Amino acid sequence: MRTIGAIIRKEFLQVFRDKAMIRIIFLVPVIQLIVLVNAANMDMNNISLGIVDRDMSPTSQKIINKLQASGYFILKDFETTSAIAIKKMERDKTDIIVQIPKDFEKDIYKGNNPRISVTVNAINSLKAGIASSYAVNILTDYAKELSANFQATANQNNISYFDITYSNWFNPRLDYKTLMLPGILALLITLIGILLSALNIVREKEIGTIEQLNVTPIGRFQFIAGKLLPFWILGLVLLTIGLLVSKLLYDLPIVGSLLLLYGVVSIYLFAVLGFGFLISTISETQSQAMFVTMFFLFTFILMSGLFTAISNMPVWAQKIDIINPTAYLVSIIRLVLLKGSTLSDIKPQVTAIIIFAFLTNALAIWRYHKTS
Amino acid sequence: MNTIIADKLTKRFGDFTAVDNITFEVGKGEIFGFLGANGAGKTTAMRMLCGLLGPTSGKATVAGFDVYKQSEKIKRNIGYMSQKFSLYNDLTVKENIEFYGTVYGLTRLQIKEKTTKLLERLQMISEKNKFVKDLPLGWKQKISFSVAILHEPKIVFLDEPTGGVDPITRRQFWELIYETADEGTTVFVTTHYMDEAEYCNRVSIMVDGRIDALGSPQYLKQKYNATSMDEVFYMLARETATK
Repeated sequence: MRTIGAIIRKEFLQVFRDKAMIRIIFLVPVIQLIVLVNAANMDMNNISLGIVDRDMSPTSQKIINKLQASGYFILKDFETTSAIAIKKMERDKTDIIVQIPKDFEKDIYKGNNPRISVTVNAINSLKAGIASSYAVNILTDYAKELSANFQATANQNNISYFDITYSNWFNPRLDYKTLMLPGILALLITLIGILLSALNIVREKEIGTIEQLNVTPIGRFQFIAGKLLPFWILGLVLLTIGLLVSKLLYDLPIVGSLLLLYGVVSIYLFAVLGFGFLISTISETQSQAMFVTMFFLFTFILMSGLFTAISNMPVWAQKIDIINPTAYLVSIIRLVLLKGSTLSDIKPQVTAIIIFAFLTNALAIWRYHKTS
Repeated sequence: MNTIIADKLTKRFGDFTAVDNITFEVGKGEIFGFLGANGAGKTTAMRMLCGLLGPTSGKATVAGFDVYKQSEKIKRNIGYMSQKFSLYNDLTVKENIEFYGTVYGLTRLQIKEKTTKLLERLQMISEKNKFVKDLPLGWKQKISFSVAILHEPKIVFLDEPTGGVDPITRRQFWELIYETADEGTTVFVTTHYMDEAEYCNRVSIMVDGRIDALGSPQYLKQKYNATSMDEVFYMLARETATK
C-alpha cells in the first residue's frame, strides 16, 4: 500500500509541476466545450436561396414571401429563367433553387396540379437534406392552405384533413447544444484519459527511469495501480469542470442522477486509462504512443454516435462498435443527463464498459514486464 | 561466500551473441570491475544479473537467488544505477530519496535519518530542496549512487557511473565506492576508463561478449607484461583483431 502511495504522490508532484500538463488538463476542456459545442451546430439558418419565378403572379409572390419569412433562407438570387439560376448555383452563389413554372396560378385554379421544382446543391449531403426538407415543408404547408381555401369556396366538405402534431421529448426545443454537450463531455474524458496514461509510462521509458523502477521490488499491480489512480482522480475532476461549464454556460439539463453518472464515468476512466497503459507497453517513444493513440481516438470518436447516429452505420460498422467504449459512454451520458435513465435502463452499456475496463487493465498488467 | 556466481551465462539476440559463455564469481565486499569497449556486452551481462533481462542459457545466482526464477527476490537485495539517468529531474533531491526509500520499504523514520546522513556525507544539505535538473551532472551521479544503496543492499550494480564526469568528481565518486565496500556491500561496476580499473580489487575484461581476462589489476599487468591496465586492454583488443 505504501508503495502505491509513493507512486501516486510522485505522479501528482510531477503533474502539477508540468505547466503544459496543467493547461492540457484544465484549460483544454473549457475551451473545447466553448468552441466545439457552438461549432458542431447542425441547425441551419443561412441557406442561400435562388428563385426562378416564371409566373410572376400574386400566388408565386406569396410562396417567395413564405420561404423568406421562415428564417431559414436568405434570398440571394432572383431570375426568370432557370439557365442563369443554375449557373449561379454552379458558382456556389446559392444552395437551393425553387422554380415556379409559367401559368402556375392559373393552373391551380383550373385544378391542373402544377409542379414546383426544388433543386439542391448536394455537395454537402447533410446540408442539402436539411435545406430541401425545410423548403418542402414550407411549400407543402402552403399547398394545403391553398387547397383548403379552394375547397371552402367550392363548398366541397366531403374531404377531411388530418394534421400531424408532434412534440420532442427529452430535448423539447430541439436544441442542438443539448445533444452535443453530453457527447463532448464523453469525448473529453476519453481524450484526456487515453492520452495522459499512454504518454506517462512511455515518458519514463524515454528518460530511462523505468529501468530504475524495474530493479525495485515494485510489483506489477502496484505499478499500474500507482500510475492509474492519479489520472483517475484527474479524470473525475475534469468531469466536474465539464459539468460546471455546461451548466453555467449552456444551462445543460441534468435530469438523471449525478451519482450514477460519476459511478459510470469512474469505471469508464479505468477502461480508457488501462487502454492508454496498454498502448504505452507496446510503444518505445512518445511519438509512437501518440500515433497509436490518435488512431484509436479518431476511430472511437467518429464511431461513437456523437456526430452520426450508430443506427445509420452499415451493419459491419455497427458490429465493430460493440467494442467501442466511447459509443457506450456517449449513449450513457445522454440517457442519464437528458432522459434521467436509471441504472437498470443502462445496464447493457454499463456491463460493456465494465468488461472493457477489466480487459484493458488485465492486458496492460500482463503486457508490462519488469524482465524483458 | 560468493555473492555473484555466473556459470556459462549467455544472451543471444537473434543471431547476435551479446554475452558469450561468461563464468565468474564475485566475493562479498569485493569491488569487481567489469571492463570492456562499448558494445562488448557489459551492460547486457549486468542487466541479466539484475533480473532486467532473461538469459538465453547458462546459470547465475545473485545474493543466493536464481536469475531465472527468483528475479524479484534479487531485486530486494541489490541496488542498481543505470547508464541512463535514474533520478526524476522534476522532483527535488529530498523527494527522490523519499520515493525510492518508500518503494524499498523503508519506514518514514528510517528515510528521514538516512536522508540527513546521505546529504551530510555528500555535503549537499543546502541542495535538499533543489530540483535534480538544476544540479551539475557529477552531483546527480553521486546522489544516484547514494539512492541506489539507500536500502543497504548486499550488492550494488553500477553501469558506467562516472561517464561524462570531471576527474575530481570521479575521484570523489570512487571514495564513495570504497566506503560502501568497506561496509560489506559488494560493488559490481562497469567502466571503460582504464585508470578506474586500477581501483578495483579484481577486474574482468570483456571482448565481443567473452571474458578474455580475469584477475587483480596486478596479476593482469604481470601476465601481459604491461605497466598499466590501459596497455593490458590494448593487448587484448589487438589479440582479438588479429585472430
